[in-house]
Amino acid sequence: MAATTIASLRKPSVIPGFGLALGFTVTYLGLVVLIPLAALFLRSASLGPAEFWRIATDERTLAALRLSFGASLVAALVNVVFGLILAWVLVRYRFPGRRLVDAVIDLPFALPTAVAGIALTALYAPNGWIGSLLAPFGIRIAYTPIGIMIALVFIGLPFVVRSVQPVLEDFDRETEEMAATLGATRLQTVRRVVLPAILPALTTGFALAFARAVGEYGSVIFIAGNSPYRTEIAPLLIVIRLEEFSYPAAATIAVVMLLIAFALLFAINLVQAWSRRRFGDV
Amino acid sequence: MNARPDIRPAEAVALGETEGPAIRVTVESVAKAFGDTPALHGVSLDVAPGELVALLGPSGSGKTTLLRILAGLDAPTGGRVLFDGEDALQLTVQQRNIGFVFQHYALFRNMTVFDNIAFGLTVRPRDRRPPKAEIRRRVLALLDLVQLAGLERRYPNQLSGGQRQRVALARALAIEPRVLLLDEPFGALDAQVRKDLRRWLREIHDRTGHTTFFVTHDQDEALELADRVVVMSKGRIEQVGTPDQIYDAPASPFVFGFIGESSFVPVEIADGTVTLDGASLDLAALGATHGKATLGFRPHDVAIVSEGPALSGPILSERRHGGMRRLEVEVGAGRHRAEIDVAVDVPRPASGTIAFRPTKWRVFPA
Repeated sequence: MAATTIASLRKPSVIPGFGLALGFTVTYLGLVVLIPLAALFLRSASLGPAEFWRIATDERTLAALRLSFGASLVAALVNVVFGLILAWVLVRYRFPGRRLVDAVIDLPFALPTAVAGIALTALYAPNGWIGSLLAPFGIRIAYTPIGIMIALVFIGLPFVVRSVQPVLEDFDRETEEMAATLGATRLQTVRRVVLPAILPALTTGFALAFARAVGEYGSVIFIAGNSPYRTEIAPLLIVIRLEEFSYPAAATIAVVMLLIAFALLFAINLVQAWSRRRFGDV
Repeated sequence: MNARPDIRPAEAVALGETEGPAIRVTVESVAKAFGDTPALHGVSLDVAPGELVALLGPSGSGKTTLLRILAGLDAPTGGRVLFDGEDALQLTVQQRNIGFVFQHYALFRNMTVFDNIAFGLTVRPRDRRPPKAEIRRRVLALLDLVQLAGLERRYPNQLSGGQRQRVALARALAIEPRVLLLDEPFGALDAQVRKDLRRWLREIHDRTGHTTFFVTHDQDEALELADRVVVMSKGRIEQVGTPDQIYDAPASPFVFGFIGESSFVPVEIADGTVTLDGASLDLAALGATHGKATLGFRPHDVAIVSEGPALSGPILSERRHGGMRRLEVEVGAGRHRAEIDVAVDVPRPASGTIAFRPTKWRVFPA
C-alpha cells in the first residue's frame, strides 16, 4: 500500500517539480504558520492539564469566547446576505458611479482598523449622529454586543463581495434564460439555479469574513466598551492577560480559540470539497 | 401531422402528444435594432403546424436574433409574432411555453440529469404541477426517447457533449412545448456526433411533431434536416423554400453562393443570350435583361468541350476533391477565377488551358 503511494507520487508527470513544490510549501507553511503556533501550544502546555482546563473553562474566558465566536458568526451571516446583494448589483447593473462603489468596497481592507473603530464609536455612541437618534428609543449600540457586530460587519464585508463577484460575473446568462423558457419565475431561477451555483464562493466569503472577525481586535475594542463577561472579546482578554504578564494564560486562551476556529474552517472546507466533487469545478 | 404507429399510448402521453396539434407560427415584418445597429429589417415568415424549419445564414445574418424573439428572450422593435393567430408578444417568456435548446446546452450543473429534465415541471405552480410519480414517469420516458436511459443520476459534468445536448433536448420537451427552438444545437459537437444527432433529431421530430425552428450556419445540416429552409443575410430573408428549391433555384447570387459550391463569372446579356468579351456563349439568359449580369454555376455542372462557344482559360491549379479533380481556371479577358470539377481520369491538357460549358447555370442581373 505504502509502496504504491510512493510510486504514484514518483510517476512522471506533465507538471514536473512536485517534490520541490511540496518541499517549498511545507517549509514555508512551517516557518510562517506552524512554528509560531507550535510555540503557542508549547507555552500553554507548560501549565499542565489541570491548570490549562481551569483557565480554559474560566467563566470570564468562556464568556469572551462565546461573544467572539457568536458575534463573528452573526456578522459573517449578515455579510453573506448584504455582500451577496452588493455583488449582485455591481455585476448585473450598469449605473453611473458603479466603479466608485466598487472601489469603496475595498476600503475596510485598507483602513487601519483602529480608525474604523473610532469612527464607528463616534457615530453610534449615545451622543453620536446615529446613536443620538436611537437613544430616545432606548436602543444602545456602542458599548454593547450590537456595536461589536457592527464593527465586525464593517471589516468583513469585502471578503464576501470579492469572493462572490467573479463567480457571478462568470455565471452563464444562457442558464438563466433557459430557466425562464422552462417557466421558472425570477425567484425560482435565483433560488434553484443561481444560488446553488455561487454557493461555494459564498461559503468561501463566509469563512473568510468569519475568520477575520474572530481575530479582529483594533476596531472592536473602541466600540465594545470592554466590560468583562459582557462586551469583552477573546482577543482583548488575551491582551489583558499579557499585560498581567501571565503568558501561559494568554497562550491557553489563544490555543482554545485556535482549535475552535480551525475546526470550523476545516468543516467549511470539507463541505466545499464535497460540493466541488459533486457538481464539478465552480 | 405524422403517422406514429410505433408509439405506445403511455409513451405518447409522456411525450406530451395529447396536448393537441402543433401550432402555426406567423412572423409579420418583425424588426429589431440594437441601439443604432439594425439586426432584423422587417422579416416575415409563415410556418405550418409541425413543420421543421431551418434558419440558415452566416453569422450576423439575424437568425439567432429571430429565434430569440420567437422565444421571448428579446423583444422586437417592430412587427408581430402570432402563435396560432394569438399575439405571442403579449406573453412573457414563461407564458410562451416554448422549448429552447442552446448551442452550449446551458444545463443546470448543480442538478442531476433527472432534476434537469424535471425542472420545467417542478417549477410549475402547484395547481398545474403533475404529481411526483407522474413527473418521474415522464422524465424516464423522455430519457428513453433521447437514448440516455439509466443516466438519470449523473451530473452534467459526467456526460459527453452529445449526451449533454440530448439532455438539453429532453429538458425542453418535458414541458410539452408549443414550439421547439434550437439555437445551433450541434454547433459545439464534433463531426461524427453531429451527423448522428442530426438523423436522430429528425426521428424525434417525426415522432413528437412539434413545430420546430433550428438555427444553423451549416448548409448540409439545413438541407438534410429541414422541411423548409429560410436563408438569411444581413437581417433579411433572402429566400424561403424546400431544400430542393433552395439548391436548384436560388433566388439571389447570395443564396447561390452560400448554398453548395459555386463559381461566378461577370458577363453581359445581349439578344437573350449570355456573352463574354463580346462573344456569345450560346447560353440562354434565363429571363435576365440586356446589360451586365453575373453567370453562376456549380463546379460539377460543367462539360469539357473541344470546340464551339465555351468559357476557356489557363488552369491555375488542380487538387483532389472527393471523387473528382477540381481545377481553378482563369476565364476570359477579365481573368476571372472559376472552379470546375473534372473526372480524375481526364488527362491534363498539354496546352495548360481548358474549355468548358456549364450544363446548368443561373443568370443574376448585376
